[in-house]
Order: sequence, then C-alpha cells, then structure tokens
Amino acid sequence: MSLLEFKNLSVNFTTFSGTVKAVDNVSFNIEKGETVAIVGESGSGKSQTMLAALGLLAENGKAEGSVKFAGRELINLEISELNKIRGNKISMVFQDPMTSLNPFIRISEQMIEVLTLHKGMSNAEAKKEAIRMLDAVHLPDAKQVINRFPHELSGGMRQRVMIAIALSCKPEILIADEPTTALDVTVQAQMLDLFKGLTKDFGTSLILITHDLGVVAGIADRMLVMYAGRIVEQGNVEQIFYTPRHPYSFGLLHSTPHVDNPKLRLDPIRGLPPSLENLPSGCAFHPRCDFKLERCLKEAPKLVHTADGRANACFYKGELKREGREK
Amino acid sequence: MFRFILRRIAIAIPTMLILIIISFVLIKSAPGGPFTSERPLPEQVLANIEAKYGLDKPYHQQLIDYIVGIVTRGDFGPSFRYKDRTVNDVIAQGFPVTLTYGFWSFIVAVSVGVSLGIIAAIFHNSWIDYFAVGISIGAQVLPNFVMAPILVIIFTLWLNWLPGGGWHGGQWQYIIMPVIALSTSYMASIARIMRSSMLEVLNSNFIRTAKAKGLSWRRIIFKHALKPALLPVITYLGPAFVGMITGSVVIDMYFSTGGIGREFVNSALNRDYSVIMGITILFGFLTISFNLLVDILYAWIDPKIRY
Repeated sequence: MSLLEFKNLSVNFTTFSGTVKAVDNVSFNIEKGETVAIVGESGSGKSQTMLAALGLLAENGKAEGSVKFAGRELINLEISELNKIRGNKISMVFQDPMTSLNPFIRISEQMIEVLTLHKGMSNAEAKKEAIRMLDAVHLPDAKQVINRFPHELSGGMRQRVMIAIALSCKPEILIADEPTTALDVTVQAQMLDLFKGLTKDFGTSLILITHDLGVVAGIADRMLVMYAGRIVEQGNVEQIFYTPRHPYSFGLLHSTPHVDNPKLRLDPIRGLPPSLENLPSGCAFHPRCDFKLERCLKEAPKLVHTADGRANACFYKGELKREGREK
Repeated sequence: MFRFILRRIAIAIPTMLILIIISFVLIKSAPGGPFTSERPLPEQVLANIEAKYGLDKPYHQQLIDYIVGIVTRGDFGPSFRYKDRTVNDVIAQGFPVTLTYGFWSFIVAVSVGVSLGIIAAIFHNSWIDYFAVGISIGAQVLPNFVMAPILVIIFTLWLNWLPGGGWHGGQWQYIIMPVIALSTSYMASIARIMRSSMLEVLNSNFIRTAKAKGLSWRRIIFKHALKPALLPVITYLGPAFVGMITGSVVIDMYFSTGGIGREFVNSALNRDYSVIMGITILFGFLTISFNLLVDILYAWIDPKIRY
C-alpha cells in the first residue's frame, strides 16, 4: 500500500459556460519519504489534483474518483475527519506567500493554532515549538519575528513561516504548490535547500507542484508531467530528462535555456495550451505536436506503464528528435 | 496615533466654521423671518424685538457674535420662537430622547445586520442565503415613513400590543416601534455589505490556508474571517449612526417621541434661526466625531493601518 494513492481522480468545475474538466481520470501513487514533482503549464490541473485530495476545491468544483491516504478514502470524507488530517498528516504550502498568511493575525497565533489543535499543546508549549520551527527553517531572529504581523516580513520570510507552519506537526506528506514562483532566484535556491533538508530530517514525502524544470532537477526523485488535466508521462527525473518519451515532455525540456551551450536557440512549444472548455479531439496535445499521427486526431492515448517503471501516453513510438538551431 | 487624533481635531475646527457660515447664509437667504406672520407686526414693535435679539446688526456682526457666544460661553443663543427657552434648553430636552432610541436602533441594526450577513455568506447560494438577501432588499426599499405607519397599524391597531406613540421617559414599550422603524433599512444595508465582504474574504488565499491547517469552520469564520470582513461595515457605521440621529425627524413625527428631529423641522418652518443653527452644528459635530471614531476603530482592527 502506498502512502497516498490517486485512483481515477477527476475534477469538474461548473461554470456559466458549462462544465470544465480540470483533472481527467488521473492515477498515481506517492511513496513514503520520496519527492515527486508534478510538472505542467498553468491550467494543466496539477494544483487542482492536490486541492481535491485535501477537499480545498473552490465552491463550484467537484472531485470524483478516489484518493486514499494510508488506506483511508479522502474524497467526500466528513469535514471533521478531514480536519484531523489536513495540517497534521498532510499539509500544504501555497504559491503566494504574500496573501497566504492572514494579514490581521500575528505570526505567533497563526503558528500556535495548528499545534494546539493537532498536538494538544498548551499555548506556552506551542509558542516554544513554533520558535523552534522558525529556527529550523533558518529564519533569523525567530523570537522577535514571531510577534510580528505578516506585512512586516519579506516574501521569503513569509514563505519560511508558511513552511514552518506546514511542517510543525511533522506531517507525513507536504504538498508545495509552486512554493518558489513568487520569490527571487536567490531565495528560491535557499527554499529548495530547505525543502531538501527538512523532508530528509522529518522523513516527509514531498509533492512539489511546479512548472520550473530547474527546480525539478534539483530536488525531485520522480516526476509526473501533466497536460490538459491528464498525466502524459511519469518516471524517474533522470530518465525523463535524458530520454523523454512524450512529445510534450520533450518540448518542455527543449524550451529551457542551456547554460552549457548558450548558442542554441530557445525552442518553445508552438501554440497555446488548450482551453479546458473546448479541448481538441483525440490527444489534447496534437495541435501543438511535431510527431502527431493520423490516429492522434481521433483517439486519446491511454497512459501505458512499461517494465522500466515509466509510463507515457502517446501513440508515437519512434525517436523524439529535433535539430538544435544556432542563433 | 495621538498626533493623528490631534490633527483630525485641528481639521475639525475649520470644518465646523465653514458649516456654521454656510448654514447661516442659507438661513438668512430664505424668505421670511422668525417674526413674520400673517398679520404683520407694527413696525416699531418689530424693530424693538429685532433689536432685542441683535437682528438689527449687520449680518457679519451677528455671525461673529454668535460664534463668540458659542466659543466663550457654550451658549447657542435664545430661541426666537419659544419665550424663556434657550437653544441649549431645546437640545437638552430633545437630544437625550433621540440618543436613546438612536442608540438602540444602532445596536439592533449592527447586531442583526452583521449576523444576517455572516449567515448568508456561510450558506452562500442556499435557500438561507436567498432568504437573507430577500429580507435585506425588502427592508432596504421600505423607507421609515412607510414602515412607521405599517408598524402602528399592526402592533397598535390590530394586535393592541404596543402604544402608538409617546415617550413616557423612555419606557421599553414606547421604544420598540421607533427602534424597528429606524433600524430596519440600516440593518439591511449592513447585512448586504457584511455578506459581500464576508464572501470575498472566504474566497481569499489566507482562508484557504486556514482550511488547509484543519481548523474548524467556527474558528475560520470568527478568528480568521470576521475582522477583515468587518472593515467595510465599519466604514459604513459612522454615516449610519449619524443618519439614524438625523433620520429621527420621521420617527418623531409618527411616534410623537419628542426627540430633536421634531424640533429641527419645526425650527426650519418657523425660521427659528438659532435653533436651526444649534441643531445643525450638533449634527455636524456628531458626523465629524463618528468619522474620527471609525478611523480609530479601523487602525485598531487592521494592523496594516498606522497613523
């Protein structure tokens, strides 16, 4: 049994213009202690997959299928039961540290409330523990900072506070939704080191939602590539980075700048991500794909697992190749 | 903070002066005077009376005398219509009445309005929400001069539960209907402001964080969402309270409560210059003080605001 099992999870949003399928029949597992990156463009459903697991979908969203945490079904779990898991066994760090802390409440109280709720600590004990956590995320002057309001901290400091809150109950799983997107590059690197160190120290599984392949390479063991609500490829980070099998993963990797050969042109994936309200027929990626077959226009490929532990959803079995063009 | 309050008080002084000058000019430019009646007074008598009240002096002298009287002696002058009564007497008699039912109306409007708004937001898009919104819209479009007679018809004439008017030193049965009539539309406005701001807050990122922490909905609403959601309501409270005090005109007319609203209307009709001025200044003073109070409250609630 895996720690977290997603099985045929779909997420639908009811909007004025009809139903939008943000996540389409997604299945994968997260094992204890591993770091998995979920990669994809905006709107590929990577965040919604995780929000669905924790019952945090927007009001008009509905999750179908199954997400099991340590064998226990999370979808449609009673809210009081779910509340014993969120923030305690599974916690989440959000993308925007500037707006994710409550601007009206002191840092101390926002940290203490999790510990008193889930760990039954007294306020004094919880405050001590909170300061210890702030030290653990390398926030200088934790004793002073804890008494401040969020607007008195910088973005990087706030994200450290968010991470400290998320890790304070020693969760088994930490979901980080683009935790570094809103931060400076130097702070990004510090955050990644922090994640690496802390997940190792606490034995926490880390699910990292990102569209930054540099982040993935630096920290993840495994990766899932999502496109238009589906998983199109999954496998070890090295496998996918060196030999991508899906044209979309291939395109993503080729659209990142190469430090070792700066003369190579950046090769973006042409076209735009499809609108979820109006997906292309067959494989959703076919209008942007350089390797498409006749079949791709009519039929959506299923995710096929192979013996080497990888999986991909593509009919094209040949070699993915593109000439690197010089500037 | 202290400097902010001092500065605001300093600004209030010229504001009050401008208010006094404008109302003085407006009153003087209205046709007629306190002693005009259908049967004109003999010229000599009129001149005597005007001399007694200082109305024979040039306008700017009258204005200066008036302001000096207020500043040095706290004296708003004698009433021109009531013999032996000063403006201070008129206000001292009517204002406590108005303040009493105004205070209760304020309490009712805020407590019912805020609760209704919160409930509607929590049960967004359910029948409870539609019901609350329906009540608010209904209550808001019903002006108090329509509300008052309806209340009298129901509670006095049909059910015979409450007296139809009077004050009797402010016994509770005399307060109920004025309070309902005065508070309803404010309650409705507060409910609608509260609902929409609460909905906005509940959709914010930090509430999603609170949910992800596993907090109960009670803690999310009262600890995390209430303060930020209250800010727009508080902005509205200053004008609302002053509105209730000035809106007492209608209440005093319907329920014969004897508050300051009635004096205000009568003084205007009678061209009782000093009483009009006195009550206008009182209302102006209330408006300025409550706006200041709201700003102080704001800083107390929102840690980002520092003066």
